[in-house]
This record gives sequence, structure tokens and C-alpha cells, in this order.
Amino acid sequence: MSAVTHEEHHHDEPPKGFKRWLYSTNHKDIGTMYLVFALVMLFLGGAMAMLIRAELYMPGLQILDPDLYNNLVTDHALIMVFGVVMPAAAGMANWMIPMMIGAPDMALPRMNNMSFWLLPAAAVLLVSSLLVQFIPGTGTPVNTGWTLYPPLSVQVGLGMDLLIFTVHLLGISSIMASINIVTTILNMRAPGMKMMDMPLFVWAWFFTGLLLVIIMPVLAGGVTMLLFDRHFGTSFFDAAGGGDPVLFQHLFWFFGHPEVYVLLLPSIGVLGLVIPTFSRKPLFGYKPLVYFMGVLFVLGLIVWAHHQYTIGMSLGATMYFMIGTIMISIPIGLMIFNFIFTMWRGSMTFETPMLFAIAIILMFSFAGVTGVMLAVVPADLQYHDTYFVVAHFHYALIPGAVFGLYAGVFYWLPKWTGHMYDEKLGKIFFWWTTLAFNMTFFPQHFSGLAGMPRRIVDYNIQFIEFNQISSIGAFAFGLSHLLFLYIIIKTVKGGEKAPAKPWDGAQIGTPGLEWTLPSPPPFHSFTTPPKLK
Amino acid sequence: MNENNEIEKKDMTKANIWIAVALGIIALTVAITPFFYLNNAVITG
Ligand code: HEM
Ligand SMILES: [Cu+2]
Repeated sequence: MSAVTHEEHHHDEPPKGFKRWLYSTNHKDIGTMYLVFALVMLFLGGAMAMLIRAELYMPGLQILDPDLYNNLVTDHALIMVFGVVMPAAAGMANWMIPMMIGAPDMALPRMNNMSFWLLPAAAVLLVSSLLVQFIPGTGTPVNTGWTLYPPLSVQVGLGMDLLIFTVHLLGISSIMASINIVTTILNMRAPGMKMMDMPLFVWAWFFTGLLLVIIMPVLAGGVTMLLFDRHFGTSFFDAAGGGDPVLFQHLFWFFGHPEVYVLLLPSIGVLGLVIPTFSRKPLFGYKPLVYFMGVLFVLGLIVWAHHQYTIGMSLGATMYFMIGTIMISIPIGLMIFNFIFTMWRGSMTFETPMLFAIAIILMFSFAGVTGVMLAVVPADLQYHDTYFVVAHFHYALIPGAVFGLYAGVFYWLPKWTGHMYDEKLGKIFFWWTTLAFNMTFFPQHFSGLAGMPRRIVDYNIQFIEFNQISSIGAFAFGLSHLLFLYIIIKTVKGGEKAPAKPWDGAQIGTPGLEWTLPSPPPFHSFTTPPKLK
Repeated sequence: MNENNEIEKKDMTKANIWIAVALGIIALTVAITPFFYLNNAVITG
């Protein structure tokens, strides 16, 4: 197939100065801004994690006031979910989806600009919600955890109001971004490209976008009801006024459970490209993979109350949520098998993105196993709110979401920057970060099973060894990201020139229009629709 | 693009806006649904 490279010379130059970024409607520039934003927030959220782990290095109180500790736990989660994984995945969607499907840009470029620029505003609000506690008279810090459960979240101070507005901005931003992505996928494909021809990453974002449109408004509605309860005399969540705090839990998890698929799916999409590329074989079972994601989309929306087994639901409801949750491991397991079969008898090479992909398959499956343990009601009554849950979801989210995005970063850096990254440093980063991750979170399974509760600043001395291993691992994990940053900066600044298609397996089994463009691609690409084979 | 390969550009603006509006309406509907739990949840006294 042929690529577009030399049409519309007249406005191929990006505008100069800050206007290029502030007023940008260009999918590549907006993608870059999303990615840079995510990287900055990664260090902010990471710094909070370092403080948390420093505090937990020893039992007793070391450096943090208990409420401040819990506020950091709250903000760490919100930043990592909304400030890192979602923006990074949206950045990749912006950069890659139009190029993959042969579109000149996103469907709604001005809305795209607004989706991004709401994020820095949200970040400022979030940081002020943390800092406002240092002004006397503003009440208790937001010590609720990211789940923001009432009644506590109705009682805490001004920080909570700022956090509610933060969630509003984040919600508007990601709903608009999702609408844009879904519309782009439906309407902007190059003539002749059918939905079933799209690279898996595009499909993954299609479902992610639809999920977000359905769930983000529920969270926004839920926190708005909190705001009403706090200030306007309603009692949605107050039993004394005829309301019910459990209603908030249902609203939160109706958002919260599908949200984990929002975080997971874009990375599954990346794996769907990386694994065939470095196995030099077409994806095994492309169509089933699309269907599995569809099943995940549907099941994901109807199993939320497995986070609430301990609230005293009816037996029928409990059984329903348990069975539904266990069923989810079927499509997830099948996806993993498809990836393994893709590698089977391929001529594999182990560049950094592929190393991440293989490690993800191993470590993410582990999270699937602990997930099924947690799904079983009588077992979860023991595990709930212990470090076992913390271990489960860090194994799900760091390999399942974060490492998938790292694989994407290494896979596409040559395309984005026009330079190859330093493969040796990439591999060092992979081993360093993977070992440190396991050192941090593996011991938490044991402390959790032994009964160490989550979200508490202090712990019994019996847990001291596990926590010290965790903390040392965490510092090593944090430190490895300085190398990550260095690799990225080095690649942006220079390095071996990347060809249009730096990976020889890259187009196997997909149209892969992005690889027909030079690296880096011109400011405007596919202004005339490309012709497919 | 090679001259002979050009495919006519279609203007998708309208279709794009319609899909966006439809999805936006879905989002707004979902957002207000929880508030209908209001029934007797407002302190009247
Ligand atoms: C095999 C599929 C999975 C099953 C059966 C499963 C099951 C569960 C259950 C039952 C809980 C509640 C534990 C408790 O609080 O007592 C839980 C928590 C959690 N899971 Fe999973 N899970 C699965 C996959 C995933 C995936 C793929 C992700 C994300 C990518 C994920 C992220 C989380 C998170 C973030 C929490 C904790 C939320 C919180 O309490 O703050 N899980 N999981
Ligand atoms: Cu869940």
C-alpha cells in the first residue's frame, strides 16, 4: 500500500511558540502533551508512593501524620489512575489511532484540545486539595482512600470539595476524549478499511471509549451527590435522613470495576501489536480477541459489587456477583492464551517492548489467580481490606496497564521521535523495574494473608520483615524511573535514525498504515485518504 | 500520494457531530440517573 508524504505542503509547518501547544488541534501534538503530562504525574504519584513506603519501613509513626498519610494514599491512587495511566493511554490513542486507520486527524480536533487542557487544571485542583489542609480552619484532610466512601467523605474538610471538582474536570475531560476517539474510529477510517481490519489497539480503545462514556458520568454524579450532602442539606448517603451510604458504594464501583478494564484494555491493545511484531507471526485469533474484549466490556459492567461482599448483601446478590466475577476470568484467560499461541513457533526476538510483553503475560496471570481467590465470597471475607488486595491490584495494574504502556512507549518511540532508543539501556530498565516491582509487591501477599490491614499508617511488629522488603523494593522501583526518563530524553534528543518501519515484523497481519509514514511522521498526515491494498 | 491513487475526500463533519451528540446524551443520561434515588432521601424538616 502506498503512503501519503508530500501533499499539502502549504501548511505542513507547525505554528511557532506557545500557541502551537495551547491552541493545538493536531492529534500528534495533543498526543505528545498527554504523554508528557502523564510522565510528570508519574513522578508526582511516585513521590507520594515513596513517602508511603518510607513511613511503612518501620512500625509506629515515623515521618507522616496519620491523616496526611491517608491523604497521600488517596492522592497516589487518583493520580496514578487519572493522571498517569489514562492520559498516557489517551496520548497513545491520539498519536496512533489516526495514523493507524489513515485519518487526517481526530474527528473533533477542537474538543480534543479542550479534553487535554482540562487535565492540567484538574491536576492543580488535586494538588490544592492536598495542600489546603495546611491552612488552619480547613478541616480534616481527605483521609478516605480513593473510594471516597461516605460518611467519612461527608465529614472531612475543604480538601474534599476541591477533590470533587477535580473529579468533575477529570470526568469531563475523559468523556470528551472518549467521544472523540469512538467517533474517529467509526467515521474516519480510510476508505476500504473495515472495522475488522483495524489493529487490535484501535479495537481496544473503541471498547475503552464506550466504557468511559457509560461509567465516568456515574462517578461524576456520585461525587456531586456527595457535594450536595456536604453542603446543600440532602441526605442521599445519610441514613439519618432516609439515605444510605451503601448507595455511594454501588455508584462508585459501578464506575470503579469497569474502570480497571479502562486501564487494562489499551495495554492489551499494545500487546496485540507488540507480540505479533516480535514473533513475526500474525496475531493468533484476531477476531476472537475482539470478541473477548466485547465480552469483557459487557461482563465488566455487571459485576461491580465484588468490591462490597462485606457490606451484608442478600445471599442471591452475593452469589450473582461471585459467579459473574469468576466468569470474567474466562475471556481474560483466553486472551492470554491467544497471545501465547501467537508466540508459539514464531521467530521471536527480545527487544525491550517484547520483554515487557512476556513479563506482562506472566505477572498479569498471577493477578488473575489472586483475583479469582478474591472473587470467592467466603475467602474474600478474610482477604478484604488487607494487603492481599493491595498486592492483587498492583499485580493487575502495573503489569496489566503500566508495563503495557511502557511496551508501547518503547515500541513507538522510534515512530514518534525519528530516533531509535538505546536498546541496552531499555533492557537494563526492563530488568531493573521488573525485579524491583516484584520485590515490592510479592511480600504484600503474605502480609495480607497474615492479616495486615490496608490504609493504616501503623502496623504490628510481626509484619516488619515483609514491609522492609517492600519498602526497599519500592525505592528501587522508583529509582528505575529516572533511567526511564533518561532513555526517553536521550531518544528525543538524538540517536540512530529510525526508518519508517523500524521493526521488521511490524506489519504482519495488520494493514499497519502508521508504518507507511516516515519516522517521525509529518505534522499533517493522510490529508488525502490513503488507498488500501 | 501518487497522483493516480487519489481518493476523494468525504466531509465527515456532520456525521462526526451527530455521533458525538448521541454519545454525549448517553453520558448525560447516565450522569443524572443516580439522582433519582432522591425519593425520600431529602431531609424535609
Ligand atoms: C480475573 C479477573 C479478576 C478478578 C476475578 C478480580 C477480582 C477482584 C475482587 C473480588 C476484588 C475485591 C477485593 C476486595 O476488596 O476484597 C478486586 C479488587 C481489585 N481489582 Fe481485581 N480482579 C480481576 C482482575 C483485575 C484486573 C484486570 C484489574 C486491573 C487491571 C483489577 C484491579 C483491581 C483493583 C484496582 C482492585 C482494588 C480496588 C480497591 O479496593 O481499591 N483486577 N479484584
Ligand atoms: Cu472489580
